[in-house]
Amino acid sequence: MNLGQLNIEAFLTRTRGEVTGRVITDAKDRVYQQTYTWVDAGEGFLNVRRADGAGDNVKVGRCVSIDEALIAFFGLYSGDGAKGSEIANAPGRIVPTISFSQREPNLVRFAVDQFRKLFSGDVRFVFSLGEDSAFFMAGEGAVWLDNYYRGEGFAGTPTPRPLTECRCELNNGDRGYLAETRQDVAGMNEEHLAFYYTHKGAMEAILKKVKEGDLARAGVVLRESDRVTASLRRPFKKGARQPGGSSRSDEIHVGGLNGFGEFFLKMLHEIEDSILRDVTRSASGLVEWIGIPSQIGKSLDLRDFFTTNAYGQIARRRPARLEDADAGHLIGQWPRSGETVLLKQLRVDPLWSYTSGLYLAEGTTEKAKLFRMFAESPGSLAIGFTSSEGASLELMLRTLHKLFPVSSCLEAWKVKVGSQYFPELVVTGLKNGVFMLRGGASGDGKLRTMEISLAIKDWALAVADDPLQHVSLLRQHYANNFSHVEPTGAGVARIDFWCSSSLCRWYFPLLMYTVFGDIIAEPCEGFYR
Amino acid sequence: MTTHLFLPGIVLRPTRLMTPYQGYIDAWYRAIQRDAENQDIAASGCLQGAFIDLLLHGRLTFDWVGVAEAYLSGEDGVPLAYSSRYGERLYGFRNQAVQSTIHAIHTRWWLESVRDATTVDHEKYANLLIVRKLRDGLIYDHDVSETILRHRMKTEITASLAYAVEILLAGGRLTGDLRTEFVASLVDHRKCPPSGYVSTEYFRWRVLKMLDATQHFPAGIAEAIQACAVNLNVGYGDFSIADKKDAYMGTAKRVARDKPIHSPLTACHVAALLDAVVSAAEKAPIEQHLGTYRNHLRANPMDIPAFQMRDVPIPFGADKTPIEIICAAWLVGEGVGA
Repeated sequence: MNLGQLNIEAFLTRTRGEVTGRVITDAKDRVYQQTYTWVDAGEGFLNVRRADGAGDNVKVGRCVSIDEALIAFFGLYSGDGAKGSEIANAPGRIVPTISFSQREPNLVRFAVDQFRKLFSGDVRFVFSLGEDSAFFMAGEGAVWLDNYYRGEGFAGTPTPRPLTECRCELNNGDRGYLAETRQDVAGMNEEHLAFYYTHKGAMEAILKKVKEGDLARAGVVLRESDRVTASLRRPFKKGARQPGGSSRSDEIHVGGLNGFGEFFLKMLHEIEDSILRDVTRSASGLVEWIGIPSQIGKSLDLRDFFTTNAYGQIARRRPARLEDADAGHLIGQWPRSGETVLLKQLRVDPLWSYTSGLYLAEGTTEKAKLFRMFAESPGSLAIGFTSSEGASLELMLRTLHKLFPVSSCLEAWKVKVGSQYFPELVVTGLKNGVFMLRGGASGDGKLRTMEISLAIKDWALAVADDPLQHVSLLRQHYANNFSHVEPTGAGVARIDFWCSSSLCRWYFPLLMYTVFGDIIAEPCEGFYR
Repeated sequence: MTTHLFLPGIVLRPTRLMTPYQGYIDAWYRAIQRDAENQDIAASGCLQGAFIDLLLHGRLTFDWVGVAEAYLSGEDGVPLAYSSRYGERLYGFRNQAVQSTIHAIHTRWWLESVRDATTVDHEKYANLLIVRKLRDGLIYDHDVSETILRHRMKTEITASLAYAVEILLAGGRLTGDLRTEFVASLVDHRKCPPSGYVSTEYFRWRVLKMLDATQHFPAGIAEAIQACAVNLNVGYGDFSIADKKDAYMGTAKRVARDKPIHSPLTACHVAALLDAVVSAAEKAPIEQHLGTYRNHLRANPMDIPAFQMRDVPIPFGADKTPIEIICAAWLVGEGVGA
């Protein structure tokens, strides 16, 4: 369903081709700016290119229709897409490149299709599988490596050669690696680097084959200009904590769009901002909905949906019970699950569509389960969402409020803090006269020092309020559901909330319908197969 | 003369405070009294309330010991960190909040000592701590936090031992063997390596001082202290931002945008660590830096910042607290170089 449009030509004319914006991700506040020229490409298209002549000629519609899938795609990109890298000599300014991190093959296929739909010209893809080479030191990776060598006529994985033999000339990266210390990792950096260089070619060949297999299974047809590559990091450099540990990342680099990153980010931000503020026209006019976002989109009768729609089933079964609770609510129950109260009507508006994509990127649910749940039992399901940005949290909570009563939407929330911020937590404790006590054997359980958790709670609620003109839903309804601070892994402090598992069986079918309903008619029969 | 291990050099006696400090302290004290009367209290709250009492009146004018006995006592009267109602401040934390920590035990012991030193049963408190001694030769809250030694915060390790040793000494339970074990463990680089954290090293120094073993204090403290002033115009942070690394990646890439903050409490810890700096040449710049900080606080008494997460200008954790205000007041009034 058409819900609005991207006024590409009108926007470029109005801004005289200058695109600028601000992006806050991972608590980094940065700006982007680019100036474009454009010419008519005929048949309703423009050729857009950087004004300085650099970059690609990008073919895009004068006016692009926005439907649920495209909005969901931007939501997906908001979570999984690259926002750009900082310019070395201009701190605080980024140059966006269009690339996308996603492993789940069906989502890869969905993203590829949406890229091709949005950009009609010569868009090409490089599918890259990144892995920490420590993965091949033990476990499944070591078996793959052994099989590879046997296939090449060896008796198994050969012993790594001395570093001086397999890497005669060390580069700066090697020297930096050798100088680093990792307290939790056994062995010497020299040994690890020797392993890396001895088996680099074999490991890359294995990863490439794995990726090609994934793409083939999702029905991604590679065009001549598309490529599959492997990106291998030195052992324990990418995130593996122990031999055999994985830190896999799957990237899609989009070619043919060089120089267009700023414009693409602008589209994304204007879509998100207009939904957040619930306004018909985005600040610059680039996005124009057909009405107030919360009042447009098809309305679903949820009783009909869960009794007749192909997406309204789990493991080929319908809810065991679905009846009126009151004038506005249903009470439903899936087999072997608890009762849940949900609203009778759901409007699939831009908010719902955007957060469907966002959840597919950022939600803590295992993605594969969402694709197979229609045909087979998905096992236990859970809803969880993590973000360091107030806007994303607000949008997700608003979405859940569209489907469930306020009191049942959120069970509890916590703040996860990466290891590089543990000293800040310690100082926060000291300011209150207490020492930081961690939970669990490895220290990544609930923080036991309440004074620190309570101090960080204030930060979290302020983050949730920050992008809004009003009090956030997190503060308004769920301030008392704050559970604890969790020192864990790496990364900036982020807010993590979770919901009752009984909501999953109602929310996920609707989410999948929103994204794929117009693309895949029978989800029970598989997605892109 | 009332002092507390946590607040080095500070004598808690009636002190004339600068107006902004007085205003902050008055407001905080009113709030903590309300919380205490409402049974919604932590041992840390009682402790800071008592600090303020001593700072304003030279004696306890509120029955902090009574509050602790009534609301911060577990089975057999064992001191607890949090009252039952305080435990409700976190969702689903009520059961975990019932915890008897070394900090809680020390707080009760100290409050009783301040109320009437002659009636304190030191042995009772020493017994509560001696049973917590672990096979690694240290005393910390392993029954509350089962985290292995390597992943524990270093300040927790040295501070817990400092609190424990102070009570064991008072209770006459510190034997020669125990002393040797504590010293050996505390300076063992595998268990407690030189950390670069001012607070960790301050408490290590205090333990060794109490055990008459300062000769075992790790070398290089002056350098570590100076590193904690990097990227700060004034004062010291608890850790060196220049040395900050992502523990897993082993690189500084992910911490490049982090900003240090100065802290009056840390400055007090630095001032106490001056005793550990042998060379006058190394001592002089530290004293000078502390003097500059004192002048800065005189001119900007409420410049006591909180951390922030990279570029997002929202306080991450506390900024001003009674402890910071008390330390700032001491630095401004009687601190090093005054």
